[in-house]
Amino acid sequence: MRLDGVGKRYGRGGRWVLRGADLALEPGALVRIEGPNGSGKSTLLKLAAGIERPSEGRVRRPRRRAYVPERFPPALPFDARTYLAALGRVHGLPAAEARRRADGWLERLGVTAQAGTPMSRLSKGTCQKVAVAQALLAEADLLLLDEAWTGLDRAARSLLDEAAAERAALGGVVLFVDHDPGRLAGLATDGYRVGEDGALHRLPADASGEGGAPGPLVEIDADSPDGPLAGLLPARLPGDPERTPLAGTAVRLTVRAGQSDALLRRLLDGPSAVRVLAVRRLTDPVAEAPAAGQGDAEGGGGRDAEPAGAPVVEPVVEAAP
Amino acid sequence: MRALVRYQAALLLRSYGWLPPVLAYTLLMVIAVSIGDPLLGSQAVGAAVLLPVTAWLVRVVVTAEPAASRACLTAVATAPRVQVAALLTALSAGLLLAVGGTLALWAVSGPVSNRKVPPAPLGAALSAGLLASAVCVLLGVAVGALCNRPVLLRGQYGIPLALAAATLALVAPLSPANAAVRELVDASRSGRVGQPWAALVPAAVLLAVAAAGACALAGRRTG
Repeated sequence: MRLDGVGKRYGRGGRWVLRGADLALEPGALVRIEGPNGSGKSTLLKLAAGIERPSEGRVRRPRRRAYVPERFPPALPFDARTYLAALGRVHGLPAAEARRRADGWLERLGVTAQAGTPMSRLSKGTCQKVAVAQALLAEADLLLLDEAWTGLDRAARSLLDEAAAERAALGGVVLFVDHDPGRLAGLATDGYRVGEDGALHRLPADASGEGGAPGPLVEIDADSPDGPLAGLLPARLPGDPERTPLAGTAVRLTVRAGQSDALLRRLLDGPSAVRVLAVRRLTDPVAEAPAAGQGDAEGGGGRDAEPAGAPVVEPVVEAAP
Repeated sequence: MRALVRYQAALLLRSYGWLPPVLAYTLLMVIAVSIGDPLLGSQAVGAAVLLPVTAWLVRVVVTAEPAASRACLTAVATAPRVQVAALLTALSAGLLLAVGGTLALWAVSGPVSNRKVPPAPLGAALSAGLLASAVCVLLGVAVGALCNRPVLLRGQYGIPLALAAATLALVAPLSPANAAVRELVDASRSGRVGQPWAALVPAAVLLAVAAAGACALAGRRTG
């Protein structure tokens, strides 16, 4: 995916929303786009998707693309399953495969019960899930998420996090815009800000991230009651923790303090049932969390820094609960 | 492309957007044609009415989809291909209406040509009527392509412009639609049926040019 000096303005003599935007992304990139309201984030994503044509400059994009808008209209005269199957066919999938994937994503997003309901009768969040499914079922090389998390419930949000990270890990390019600064923290490989001048400015990588100053280390012991944890955890975790197997199904994850919050959040919010047994700061080994259930763990240390970009390139292992 | 056309056709069918143009076609035919009229004359009216109705169908197909889902579709398939699929969908709907209209006229009409002239062969009259209808549908799609997004971004001018363009396409002496309809009228008066093949080729060329222009412009502002 490549933007070369891309500019966009709506109408002749209109304001330049983007100007001289350059961006070159390799496969595996999971990139956050930031900027205040109306700064051109959505326009940038639409240019990348080919929905808008640039007023100047050049856009090169992979052939297989998928886009999730912020709000998806329920005004379509289809039910969710029919719409997804039809879009799957437009993506180039055979009919049976399109139907299979549509059903698969509807099930994962928890909307199987409403799959046959006309979309005009679906709630806003359910419609958004259909929009997410529409993009994910294609396994596109370029995935564009324009505040796609808006209106989704917690489970669907973390599923979309997971899917976006997986797309990037499997060699796709993912561009996303979201108002939650913690969205995909530690997983995003890069961040750009749309400036006042309409150009793209690379966000500085966080000092605690990889390649930054070596901060104190944090150990997180985690266990999964369902089976060998090492196999259940996604390969791509915030901060790229070092993994050491412990007794039974437990595993010890060692990560920089700056990334530990993001890692904990992901362990607890993720789709796999993970129990955090202990959190320890290695320089002053005191904070020990009780071995209670999910959500009881306290982030010992690591409150001092914001988690941010750490590039990891590894295939994600499908994490079934 | 087949999947795209199928998607847009499903959208057209399920949204009932086809209903107003088809109702208008039916209404105009009921007003203009009486039971027992000569077939060729009725077919001339039918073909002429099809032109603005098809332009309307294009408008329905092009505006059927909400902006956000259209954006998703465009990201997958690119704007020019979505535009071609929309025009093909409207073309198919128009041709379907042409066939249905021809069959209905055959069922209700009286003699093939005017009563005072020697009777014309039925088969030749039906195929001439179908050909003329096809010419009008092709031009209707061309008019629709030029009077809607992406060529015309302001929606409110689309309808009066399309109506004016459709009228012009019917009455301008050089227009293939005019030639095809006139041929049917002449056949009805003389009893000698000619096939308007000569009008079909320029109509197809005009549509190709209009469609190519619209697709080249597709990708301009979609929202």
